[in-house]
Amino acid sequence: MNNDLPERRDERGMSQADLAAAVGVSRQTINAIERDRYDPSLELAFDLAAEFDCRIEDMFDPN
Amino acid sequence: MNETRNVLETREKYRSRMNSALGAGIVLGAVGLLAGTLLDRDPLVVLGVGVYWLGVLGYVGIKWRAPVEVRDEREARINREAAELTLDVLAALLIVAAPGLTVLTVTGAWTVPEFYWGMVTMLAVVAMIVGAANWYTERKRS
Repeated sequence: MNNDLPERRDERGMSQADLAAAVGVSRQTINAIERDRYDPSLELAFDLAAEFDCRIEDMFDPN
Repeated sequence: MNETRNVLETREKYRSRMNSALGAGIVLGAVGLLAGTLLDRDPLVVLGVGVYWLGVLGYVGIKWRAPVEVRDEREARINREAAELTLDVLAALLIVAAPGLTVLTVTGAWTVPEFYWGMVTMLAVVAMIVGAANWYTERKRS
């Protein structure tokens, strides 16, 4: 699923490892999401949205 | 943030313990087997197997008692997909082998060795276990 996670992360000056630690998954998982190789669970999508203070649909685009 | 960082640290800690238990079981088990064989001491061989089983039990026990999931969701999905692929391969083997070996036996074209029948039986047992596991999981999720 397309997403703007890298841009949002860059804006905050966060590394993939920082974001991974913030939401409790491995750095590889964040990398896979950013590269559109893995779609996160609803729970993780909510955690990511909460981390960036936005809605899930602002961050992920299913089209 | 601290809470989730703790999740990662706890996950790493328990994974490390699991791997250590399994690794120790394998190494010590192999040492016991080797020593028992070289010194011709059966108790050492038995002890080696016992230690190996203890290592495996330790791995499972630590995983079971871990306060967090030892795999994150992507790792768990990789595991599920790999298991699914494995089952597909085993199912294909069973679908091809069971009737194939039966035809060879019935027509007398080839006397199928017991070993192959043993393999087909094992594949059939795995298929039954998969069916039972599906039934159980379906009940849990419905």
